[in-house]
Amino acid sequence: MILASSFLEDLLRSVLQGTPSGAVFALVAIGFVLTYKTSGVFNLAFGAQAYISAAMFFKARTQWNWSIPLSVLVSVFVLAPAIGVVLERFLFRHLRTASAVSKLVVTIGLSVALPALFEIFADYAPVAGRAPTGIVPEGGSVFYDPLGVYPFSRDELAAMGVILAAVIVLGAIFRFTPVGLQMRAVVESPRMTELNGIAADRVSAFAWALSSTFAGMAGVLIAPIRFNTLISTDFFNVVFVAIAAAAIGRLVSLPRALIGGIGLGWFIAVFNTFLPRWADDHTWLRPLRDNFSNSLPFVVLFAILVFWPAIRRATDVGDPLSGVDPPPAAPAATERHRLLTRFTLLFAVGFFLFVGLTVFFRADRSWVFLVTSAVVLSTVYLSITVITGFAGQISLCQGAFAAIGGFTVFQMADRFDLSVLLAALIGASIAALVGAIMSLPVLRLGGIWLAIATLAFAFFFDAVLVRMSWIGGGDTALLQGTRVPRPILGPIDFGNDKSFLALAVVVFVITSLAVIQLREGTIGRTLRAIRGSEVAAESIGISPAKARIAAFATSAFIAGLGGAMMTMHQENVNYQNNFSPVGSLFWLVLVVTLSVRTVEGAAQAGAAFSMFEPLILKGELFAWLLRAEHRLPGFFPISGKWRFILFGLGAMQFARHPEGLLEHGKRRATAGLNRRLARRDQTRLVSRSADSGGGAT
Amino acid sequence: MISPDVLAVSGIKKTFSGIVALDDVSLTVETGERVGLIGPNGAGKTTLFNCLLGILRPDAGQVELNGVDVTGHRVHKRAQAGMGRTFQRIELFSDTTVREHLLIAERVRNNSGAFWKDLLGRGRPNAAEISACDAVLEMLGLGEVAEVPIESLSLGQGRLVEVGRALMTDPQILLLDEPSSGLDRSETNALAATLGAIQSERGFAILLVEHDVELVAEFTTRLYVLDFGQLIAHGPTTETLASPAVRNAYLGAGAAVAGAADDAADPPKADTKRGLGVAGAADGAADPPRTDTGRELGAGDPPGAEPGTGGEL
Ligand SMILES: Nc1ncnc2c1ncn2[C@@H]1O[C@H](COP(=O)(O)OP(=O)(O)OP(=O)(O)O)[C@@H](O)[C@H]1O
Ligand SMILES: [Mg+2]
Repeated sequence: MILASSFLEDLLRSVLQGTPSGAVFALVAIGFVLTYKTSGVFNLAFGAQAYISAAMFFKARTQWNWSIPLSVLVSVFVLAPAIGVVLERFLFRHLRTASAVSKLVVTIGLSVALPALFEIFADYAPVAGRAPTGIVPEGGSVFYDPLGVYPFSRDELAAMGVILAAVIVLGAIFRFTPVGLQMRAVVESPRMTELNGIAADRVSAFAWALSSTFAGMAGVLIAPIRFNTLISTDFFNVVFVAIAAAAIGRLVSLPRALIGGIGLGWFIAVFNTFLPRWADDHTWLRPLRDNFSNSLPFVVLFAILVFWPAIRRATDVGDPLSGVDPPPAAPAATERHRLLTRFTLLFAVGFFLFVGLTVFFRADRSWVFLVTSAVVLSTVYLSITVITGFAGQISLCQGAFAAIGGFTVFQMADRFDLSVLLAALIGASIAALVGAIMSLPVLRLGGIWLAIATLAFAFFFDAVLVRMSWIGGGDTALLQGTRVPRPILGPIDFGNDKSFLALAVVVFVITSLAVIQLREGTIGRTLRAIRGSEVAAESIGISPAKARIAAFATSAFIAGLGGAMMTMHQENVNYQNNFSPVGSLFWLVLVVTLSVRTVEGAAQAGAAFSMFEPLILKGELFAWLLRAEHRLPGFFPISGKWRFILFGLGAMQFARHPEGLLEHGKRRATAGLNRRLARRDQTRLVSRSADSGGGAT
Repeated sequence: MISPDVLAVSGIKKTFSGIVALDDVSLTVETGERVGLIGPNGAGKTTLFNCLLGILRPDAGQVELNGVDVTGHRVHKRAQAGMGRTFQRIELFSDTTVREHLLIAERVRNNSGAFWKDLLGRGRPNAAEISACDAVLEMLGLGEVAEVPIESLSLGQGRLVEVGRALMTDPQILLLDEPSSGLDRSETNALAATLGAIQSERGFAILLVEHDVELVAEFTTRLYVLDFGQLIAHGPTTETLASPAVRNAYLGAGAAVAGAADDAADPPKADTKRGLGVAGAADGAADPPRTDTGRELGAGDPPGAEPGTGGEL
């Protein structure tokens, strides 16, 4: 009897404990659904928006000593809606006809760029251990315990009150205002609702302002409840749970998103309360307890994506406000002249020979290091070329695959003293296996859901697997780091930086050649067919699932190989620096921004990632041009955050130029030459046929 | 005992959130036969094709291909087993040329692709494949545009590419969904002639969905008529077209079909089509209980509709 009542009490306590977070999740989920339904944008930058408001509030309170109401007003009711309106007006309004996946890439770019942009302009830097403050004084230290079971902090009560009010206001807007009624028509109708252009613009601008306000509110409310330090990446977790909540309502139902959010808050709290206890009684639950509780959001999301039947049936909806016009036809592609191809190839080879020789014979150690990083990273980026460029799938867990390669080398060398080159191949194979297995449950999702599932996997890997002793090294890694030796092959010791550079180049070239062969071979052409039209590909006997599994495995293999090379190069796995999930978001953004379908694109992205900061931002290129270090203008070094901003903003171009900016520029630049070559052929052909015609008569 | 039917469909039923799109549809196609399937807009013809190929799962019913029950099979399995199709809203592979379309299909048919072959550079199209594709391209009159990117083709050429791609899989039955829409009279005639020639050479069967009654009358020997998801008539083409049931239920007052089927003086094709559409709609209006369900929805694309199930291009 006592047992039962204590069980019920614990249950009640954990439910109460989960309610404030659940309310915040619900708020985020509602905001998420709003923009999705009104503009077809699956907004991954939602967490970034929440972060900006939270950081703004924090800054206003602690550094400028503003009053609470003023800080709330500025951060939540001015800054947040302004960001929403700006994003809608200057970005998403122009992307109405773009595919859901390309809009997703744009929001990934934003999620990388927005926090960096804010941090630069607001001169904000997170300080470890400085806890965020809430919207009520002494929010974290005064408690109320109405039921005698769980004491709510003031912050928690405030959060629940504000969210209740926000939901009521939202309901009122939907019911009583004209724009709200229109918005409701769009959000709630299962079918496409046609609105005329002006109303569509108004509705979507309003929805963005509203949802951005919700994001800001959620950020300010959750920061004191959940975080000890305000760091932008933490806000990703919140978005995860919100996506899970929104997914429960198939992304189309606001009430269900609300219920889903609160339900997930409860579920997580209950799980966190009871799992440790059960684990005390049942040993087999113990590893689960030790590792899974902090990754619950990702596991929940992954599970919902895989098992929730509605998701499987949901296809990507386009922009409901885009009207019935079909998207503009792709510009007629022109054939590339053979001479032009040969010419550009020659140019590329010449350029790389020049750079290579210069680096080999003239460069100092730090330069060799940088160039090697670029080459090694380019190898990793080839994996994105395969999965995103060829197969058209957005995978956001390439960092995890690369890390598997890296960790395998570390483990094999550490435990079995195995040759690292062999270990690299084993690591790549393990990564391929993991990639293939992971792709199995998520394959039929397709489109944005696949992207989200891979992101959930990346965070799961980050939160759980990396901590396990047989993967990330666990305590060993904490004590001694994850050190990795350089390979030795017969007489060659790759401990020498220049010989390792040569090895990296060889690996890159071999991988590139393999990738090119795959592109032109059966698998590449099959993937292109599926990317073009999945039903048509199936109708001629292609199995999309098989082709995609192959693509995932290949891509993971390449990532694993590149990751292994990376760890050998740095002689350490350096997981946090190299392979974190947010890092792989940025990788994807970078590669698709530049050129995702070509091998050159991967090389350029690798060069950009490792060289942009020292070369441009630190001013080395400038100094070299001036031939003096000390004459460098005062604004150098520029903050490395600009990297994120530039490439994040570049990703916005993806919707318009899916071939990538560099590729687009290259095509434009060579178009004239191409046309001239084609015309020359034409005249030759005409004169030849005239000749033969003359001969016949 | 081997049945001569290459395709035998029985009791197919499909509803979309309560709306009955197909109701107990059964039909058979014999080896080498040319069968027509007509019906007004929204009758369920494309939906039937999607059920046959497995793009949609029917709620009930059975599909047999060469006597093998393929109801549970995936789309690509059925394609490999000998079902080919074209799409009402054309579905082409972007970023590829005309010849590459056919080459991909040829490679799939050969089933000679392998990962290691790709890696060794032996996955590229070989001479035999290219000449096989070029033969089909020549037959379809696409030889000129073999190297042209798919994006710069006309709609009519796009349809031909779809036909060619389906032919490369060496089908035993070819499902054609309105191959003549977007083609003018002479192109339609040319397509019919080409298809006829290839078909009699290779001996596969054709199930043709068409609004162009003239083409149906010329090209097919047997005809099924679908209306609101139900088969309302079938039999030899000329008789079925002329039967009072079809004329009344499907073609309305009826004068249109006489002109389309018998008149050698070619009425302008567009008129024939519009005539059918209008007649169908008028018929729907005369039959109130059905009007507010099927017909209304037939007008626009439902969200999330399968590509290829949409309205007319
Ligand atoms: N995916 C879908 N979801 C919901 N309804 C659908 C779907 N596909 C088709 N329908 C409906 O099923 C009915 C039959 O449509 P179908 O496209 O098969 O007609 P059809 O005979 O091919 O017409 P048309 O001559 O215009 O091509 C229509 O009412 C249509 O709206
Ligand atoms: Mg149709």
